[in-house]
Amino acid sequence: MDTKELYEKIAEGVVEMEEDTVVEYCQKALDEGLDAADIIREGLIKGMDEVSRLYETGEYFLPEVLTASYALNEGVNLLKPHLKKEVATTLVKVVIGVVEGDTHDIGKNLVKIMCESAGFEVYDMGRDVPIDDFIDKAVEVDADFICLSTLMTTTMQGMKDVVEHLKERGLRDRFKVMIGGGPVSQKFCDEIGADGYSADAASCVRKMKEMMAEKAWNSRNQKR
Amino acid sequence: MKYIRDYGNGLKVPEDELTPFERNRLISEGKSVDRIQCCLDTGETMAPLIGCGIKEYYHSAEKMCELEEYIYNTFKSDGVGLSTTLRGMAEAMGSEIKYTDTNVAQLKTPALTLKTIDNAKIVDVEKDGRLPIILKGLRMVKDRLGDKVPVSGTVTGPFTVAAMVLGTEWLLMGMLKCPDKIKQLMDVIVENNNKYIEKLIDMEVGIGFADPVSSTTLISPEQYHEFSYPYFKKNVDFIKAHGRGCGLHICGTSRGLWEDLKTTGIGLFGLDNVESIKEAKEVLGPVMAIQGNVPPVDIVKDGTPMEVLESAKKCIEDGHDCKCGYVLTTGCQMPIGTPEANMHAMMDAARLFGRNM
Repeated sequence: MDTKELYEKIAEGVVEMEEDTVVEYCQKALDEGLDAADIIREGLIKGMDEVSRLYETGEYFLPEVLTASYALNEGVNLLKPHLKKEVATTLVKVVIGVVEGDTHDIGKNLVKIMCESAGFEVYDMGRDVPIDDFIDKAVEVDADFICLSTLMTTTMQGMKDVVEHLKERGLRDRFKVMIGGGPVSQKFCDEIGADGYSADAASCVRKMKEMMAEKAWNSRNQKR
Repeated sequence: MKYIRDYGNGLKVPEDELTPFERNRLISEGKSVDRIQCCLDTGETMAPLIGCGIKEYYHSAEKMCELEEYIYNTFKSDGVGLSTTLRGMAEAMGSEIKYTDTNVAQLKTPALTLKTIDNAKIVDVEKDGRLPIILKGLRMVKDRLGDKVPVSGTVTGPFTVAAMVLGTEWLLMGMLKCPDKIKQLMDVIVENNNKYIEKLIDMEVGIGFADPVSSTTLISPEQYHEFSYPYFKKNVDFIKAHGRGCGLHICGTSRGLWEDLKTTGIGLFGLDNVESIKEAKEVLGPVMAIQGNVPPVDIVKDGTPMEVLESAKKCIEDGHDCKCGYVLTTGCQMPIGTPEANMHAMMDAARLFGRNM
C-alpha cells in the first residue's frame, strides 16, 4: 500500500467512525516508517476535516462527531509516543475550558476537536476551571485565544470575570476571548466585552481564522 | 409601545377576574375567559426567592411546597407544580449528583457505562433518590393550592434520563456503537417513568415532560425517531390509557421533530425561544396547544420589565390564535437571579395584551 493510500484509509476510518480501522492503519503507517506528525496531519486530521464539513452541512450530528473524534483520539494515542520533539512553530495557540462551577463539556470538546483539525495548538483546561487559571495558562503558552464555554446561566458571570481580570492584569489586548454555550449570546458577548461569540463549533473556528487573518494583516501593516 | 413605556408609571394593569383553576376549567370547556394563561417556568432556580439554598430545596418537601405557595401568592401564575428535575430519575437509578446551594445540580458520576447496561435497575419511587421527597412535596402542594390553581408534576423524558444515567456523551456515542444496548436501557427507563407517572395519576395532578437531550441541537431527527420517540410515546400511551393527557418541553432546536411530535399524542408543546411560535402554530397548532417562548436569559433574567413586556406581547400576538390554545411562558426554565419585577412583567403581559382572546 502506498503512502497516499494509507493516509486515505486512516482518514476514511475517522469519517466512518471506526476506531479499529484507524488504529490498524496508523500502526501500518508507523511500520512503513512514516513520520507520526505526518500521519496525524495527512490522515487523522484530514478525516476530521471531512467530519466537520459533514457536521456543518447537517449530514452528521453530535453523536457522529463525538464517535469520530473518539476514533481520532485512539489514533493519536498510538502515535503520540512516536512524535519527534516539537519544533518551534508559529501555530495559532488556544487555551480552552469550561468556566468554574460548570461540568458540562461536550460543547467545549467539540470546539477543541475542530480547533485541532484546523491545525491550532490547543491547551485543554478541562471543566470547572478557576478563572485565573485560564489567564495563567494563556500567559504561559503565549496563546492567541482564550475560549470559554458554559451551559449554565449561573456560571456565565465567570466569562465576564475573565475579561475583567485580564484588564486588571493589563493583559486585555494580548488575547482574544471567545465565548460560547447554551445560554450565551452575541448580546452577552457585547455586554461583557468579549471578542467573539459563536453559536456552534464550526463557526467558532471560522471566526478565529478570520481574526488571525486580520491580526496578521494588521501586524504586517504596522511593520510597513 | 406608548403603552409599555407607561408600565410602572401610571399604566393600569387589569386585575384577574378568575382564579387560575376557574380559568383553566372554562378554557377546557371552550368558554371565554378574562385573559390568556401565563405560566412561570420556575422550580429549583427560584429557591433563593424564599431565602432557601438550592441544595436544601432539592432535599426538602416543605421548602418545595413553600416556594410554590410563595410563587402562586405573589404572581398568580396559571400553574404550580414540582419536577423530578432533570437528574431526579437518574439519581434514583444510581447516578451520583453534585448539589450546591448556589447552582443547579449537576451529574457527577453516571450510574452506568455502555458495558454495564445490563445492571440498569428498576426503581422504587417510594424509596430511591429524591423521588419520595418530590412526591411528598407534590402532595403538599396539591393539598394547599389544588383548589385555586392547576397542579402538575414534571417527568423527565426517557432519552434525557438515559443521558443522565450514562453521561450524555456516552449515550450519544452508544447510539452508534451499541444501539441494542441503548434500547434495552430505554425500556427500563420507560418502566421507571411509568412507575412515577402512576403516582402522579393517583394524585390527580397534571403531567408534563422535559426532554432537553432530545433536541436536534444534539441529535438528528432520525436518531430521535429511533432512540427517543418510541420510548417517550410509551410513557404518553400509558398516561392516555388512564384517560389523562400531558405536555412536553424540549429545549433548543426541535423543528425537525415536529412531524413526529404530532403523532405522540401530547396535548401541549412548549418550545424554546430559538424556535418560532408562528411556525409551531401552523404545524403543531391543529393538534396541540402551544406554549412559549420569551427568551429566559437575555430578556427575563438580564432584561428590563419593559423588555419582558415587549417580548411577551410579540409572543401573544403570534400565538394567541393557535387552534388548540396558547399559553404564555418562557422558552425555558427561568434562571437563578431572575428579578421578581420581570416575573411580574410576564404575568402583567398576559393581563395587558392577552385579554378577550
